[in-house]
Amino acid sequence: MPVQILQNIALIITIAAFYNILPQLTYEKSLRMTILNGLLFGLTAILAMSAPFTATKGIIYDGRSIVMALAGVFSDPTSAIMAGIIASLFRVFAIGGSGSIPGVLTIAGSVAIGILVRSRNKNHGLKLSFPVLLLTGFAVHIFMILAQFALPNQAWKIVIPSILPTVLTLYPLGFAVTSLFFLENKKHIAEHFQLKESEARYRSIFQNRHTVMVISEPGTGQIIDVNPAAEEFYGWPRAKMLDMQLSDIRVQEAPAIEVGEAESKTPFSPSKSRNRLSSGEVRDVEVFSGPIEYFGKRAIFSIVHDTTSRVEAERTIQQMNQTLEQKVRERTVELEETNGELKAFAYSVSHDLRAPLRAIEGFSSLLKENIGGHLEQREQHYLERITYNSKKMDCLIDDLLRFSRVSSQPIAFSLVDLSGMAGVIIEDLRLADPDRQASVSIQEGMTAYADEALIGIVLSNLLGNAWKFTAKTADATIRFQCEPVNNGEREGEKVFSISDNGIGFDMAYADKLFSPFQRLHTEAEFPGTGIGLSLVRRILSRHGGRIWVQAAPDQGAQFFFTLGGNNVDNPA
Amino acid sequence: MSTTLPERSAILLVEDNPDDEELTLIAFRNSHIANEVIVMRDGAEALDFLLRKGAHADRNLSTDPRLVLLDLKLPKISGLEVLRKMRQNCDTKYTPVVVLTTSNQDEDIINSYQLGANSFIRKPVEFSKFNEAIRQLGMYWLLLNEVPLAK
Repeated sequence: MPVQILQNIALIITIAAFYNILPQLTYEKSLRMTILNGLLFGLTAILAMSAPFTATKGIIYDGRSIVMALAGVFSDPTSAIMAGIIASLFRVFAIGGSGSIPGVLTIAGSVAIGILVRSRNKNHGLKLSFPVLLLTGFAVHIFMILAQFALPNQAWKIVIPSILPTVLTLYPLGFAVTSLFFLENKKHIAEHFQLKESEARYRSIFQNRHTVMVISEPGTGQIIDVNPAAEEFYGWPRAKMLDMQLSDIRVQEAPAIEVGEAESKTPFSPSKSRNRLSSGEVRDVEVFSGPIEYFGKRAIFSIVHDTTSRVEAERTIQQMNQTLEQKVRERTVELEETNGELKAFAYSVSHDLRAPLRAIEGFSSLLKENIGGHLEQREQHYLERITYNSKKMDCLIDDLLRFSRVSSQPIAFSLVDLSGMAGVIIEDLRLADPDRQASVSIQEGMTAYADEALIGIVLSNLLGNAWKFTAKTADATIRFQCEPVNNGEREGEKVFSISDNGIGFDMAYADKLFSPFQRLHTEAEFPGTGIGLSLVRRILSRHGGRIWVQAAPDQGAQFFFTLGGNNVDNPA
Repeated sequence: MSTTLPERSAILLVEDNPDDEELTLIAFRNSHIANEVIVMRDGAEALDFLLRKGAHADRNLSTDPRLVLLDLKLPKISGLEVLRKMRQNCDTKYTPVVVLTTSNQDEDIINSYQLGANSFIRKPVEFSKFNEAIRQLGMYWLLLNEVPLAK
């Protein structure tokens, strides 16, 4: 009898060893493995039942309770139940006899207790220590003893005493020891798989097709391993590269994939260099090197970035910058020259053009004084025209000078009260022309960052124009207001407008309006030199602003202007 | 040795444009200013006269001007240079200089005052206004204004 029990236990140990050979059984989770597990435990149970210790005919005792309990604890519940069914079918149909009912009960009980312990372990942190396993063994086998009460004809009376000592000593012990064996195996298998997984992970990183990686020997620079990206980049097959040294791909003295130094340097500090490819082409690279352990030896691990296009782009940018700087210098010189010429021109205009004018005016005045009384009306008129035109030319020269000054003088920004300024200008216009009836409305509180003197010129010109060109209009109305742009790219920008209901003009001539000395009306209709609006546009553009106009003949004109970036309602 | 010098009365007009010169003289006459007007037609000549050098080395001290009317744009030596030299010389240091020019460039006005001009007048194109300007400046600088007695 003890020989048979030992046989049984040996069988169980065999299955444990089998587990060691097929490590996937406990590690891999798939339907295939679940079925395989179930079969394995089921078949082991069958084997166990095939070498039984026979109490009397039809009543056999064997290690199936241990196998079933192990299946419950160490394989997943589905496998365990499957094994249980296999074992039960075998017990009932292959062996049969009066022990069938307690036999099946024992199988079911063992599986159930095993699953219970497994679930306590998985879900409640019950540690599978030796005492716990021993207790589990006892529980399984106490259940087995109790199952014997199901034997017909009170056979338990004979059976229980005969099996009790073995079943309650050797069996639980066998279960506990085998369990330990399983546990140990399980641990090793898990470690083995984790190691394999982590290796595979790192290998897949190394096998990366985009990042060039090279492993080399410290000191000699002998290449130990390269990845496919390196093969692709350098253009040599891996086998060839393993015969090469770093010096074969490095172009200059400067450290590329540095051989000895990498160890002393901060790990993976980048260095710049140039590498030669199999094609002979030389590429700019940035190399990150650091020490690693490679198959138990110290090695240098290097990641190589091809920076050729970046370096070339940087070089191009540098060249472009130099060219640009050179151009800027040249243009500055040209501009300074032009500016100087302009200044000289303005100076000469103010001096040299005025002198002959003064002579013309002076002598014609003298002529008129001396002989004016004796002149015919027509001759008198001639003299008057000379005087008038001299004065006119004087005004033109003044305007021209003002225009050139506006173009060259620096802009001094400050917060200007445009509403107040416009009010003063209108007051002056009323004073100069007290008989004029005009309704003027100026929106209150308009301000802007601008050059006070220059914006004064803008407002006096625009308001002056509105005043002038409504002279012949009944119910003349002049309006000065401001509205911020409420959508688009220029949202928030203040747009000022000065509108009148005067004689207006045909929009076909609008482009002429802002050019110096261009006029849309005759001198007799409306006096002026035609410099005003060009001056206005020049000033606004120097502020970074714009001016545009909407008009129609006899329907007035509306001038819109902006004062550039500093004048946005919501300067975030 | 001390000599009593006659009171200065001459007006020195430094002007290169003969038309302007003629008009200025007419304006003086119109304003009944009878002082002798000496005309110098370029900066070098004016300096020679003022500092008694070159062709004017021997000129009579009585012709020292009471007032200098100085144009800025002059042949050879500019009006501003003439002014600078005058102010550096103790004989002409305090002689009133009225810059009478066509220019109204800010830098001309600033430079003139910086170099010690007493007044800056822009010649108006309109002759009646020019007449008025000459009348007023004659009145002020020849009658009202006092200068330190010559050494």
